[in-house]
Amino acid sequence: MSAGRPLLTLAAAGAGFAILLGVDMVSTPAPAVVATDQPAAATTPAVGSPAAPATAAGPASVAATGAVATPAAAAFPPEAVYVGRASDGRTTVALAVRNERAAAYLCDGRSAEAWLTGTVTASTAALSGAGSTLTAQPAAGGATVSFALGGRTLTATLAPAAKPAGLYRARTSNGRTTVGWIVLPDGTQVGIENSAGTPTPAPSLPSDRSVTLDGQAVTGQEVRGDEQF
Amino acid sequence: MSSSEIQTRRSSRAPQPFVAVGIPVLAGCAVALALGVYGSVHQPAGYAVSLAGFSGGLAAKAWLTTAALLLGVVQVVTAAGMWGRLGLADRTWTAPVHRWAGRAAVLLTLPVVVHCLYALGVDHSSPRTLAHSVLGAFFFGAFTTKMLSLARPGVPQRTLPLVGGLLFAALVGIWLTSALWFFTTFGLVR
Repeated sequence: MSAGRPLLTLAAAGAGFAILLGVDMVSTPAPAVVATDQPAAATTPAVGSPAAPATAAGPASVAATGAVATPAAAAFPPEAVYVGRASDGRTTVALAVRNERAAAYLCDGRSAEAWLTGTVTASTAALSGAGSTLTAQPAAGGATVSFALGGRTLTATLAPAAKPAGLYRARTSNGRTTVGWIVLPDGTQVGIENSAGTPTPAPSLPSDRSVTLDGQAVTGQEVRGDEQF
Repeated sequence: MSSSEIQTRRSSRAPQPFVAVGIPVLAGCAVALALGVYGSVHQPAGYAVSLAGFSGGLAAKAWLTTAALLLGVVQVVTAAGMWGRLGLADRTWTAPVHRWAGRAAVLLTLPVVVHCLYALGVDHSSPRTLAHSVLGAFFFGAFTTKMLSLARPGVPQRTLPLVGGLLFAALVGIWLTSALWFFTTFGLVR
């Protein structure tokens, strides 16, 4: 066999890899570089938070990733939905902002979840609910959040979510069972079905958003930020 | 270059097969390491260009990986034929089929690995994603080693079946930890 052909194949594979990666970088709507530059631990809301005695490892590892502070963007837009994954690699976060109201959902897709609501001031959204607190600041192309969940303090960089990405919620008429779904920009769904306080992984959210909960047909509602849970 | 020079170079290389195979192996390690480091350091974008005709990036990847795995089976069969097994020793089609099926398989995996690395990154939150991350980086390192070994004279004969076998084993592991998981979790959705 000619010695050149495997090298040509290898070079073509390398070039194809580089081209595809370049196309992704050019076409990504939210700049990925905002990711690591918010000072994470500095904005942790300890006030009234059950997570105040966080383990030393939590804030320390967070601080290691958030090195350089960049000035936050001026304010949240009147309406926006942001989604992203938290610094622990397990928790997914969705934040919906509408005028002066905000709603958020924290979820690991298995057993831990929290619905939060709150208010938006000029440059900060502050939310609470289900024993968790969350603060969010607008950042270039997205939002940075820090929150306390289950005794841990975590941070996340969120990117704007365009439909079908976003935050969805369904509830049975008696309020016994609630489902939350976060749909990430790549289509991945992370969600939990909470039936009378027992969390289980959520059923898949179909494109028409109709699901059956406790034998009842319900529709997943888009969460826009001004809801009360 | 005179023929005596070529003779000298060949004779000096021939007794050192481990040196000959060392460069491809080191290059493969470097590629696997580079992919792993990129996947760990790069903040996952949560976004990548997907293929038309699929419901999302994960579905597209599951099907592409499945197609690559089928081509991988073709690779094992044709390679065995090229080495005189399966009664295919005198068939002339095995080598070209092996080459083109291999190229097609790698072509199919390229959008997959770019999506994995750019949109998701190395994920050690569960054994499945950790194994998948490691196997994915290993796969492209092994592919690099295989291509460079083919191109280098003096590489020991057993290198190619060994690296080829590792490549296929990694591909099977990658499929089990991604496409199989996807199909059993979401069903056979496109």
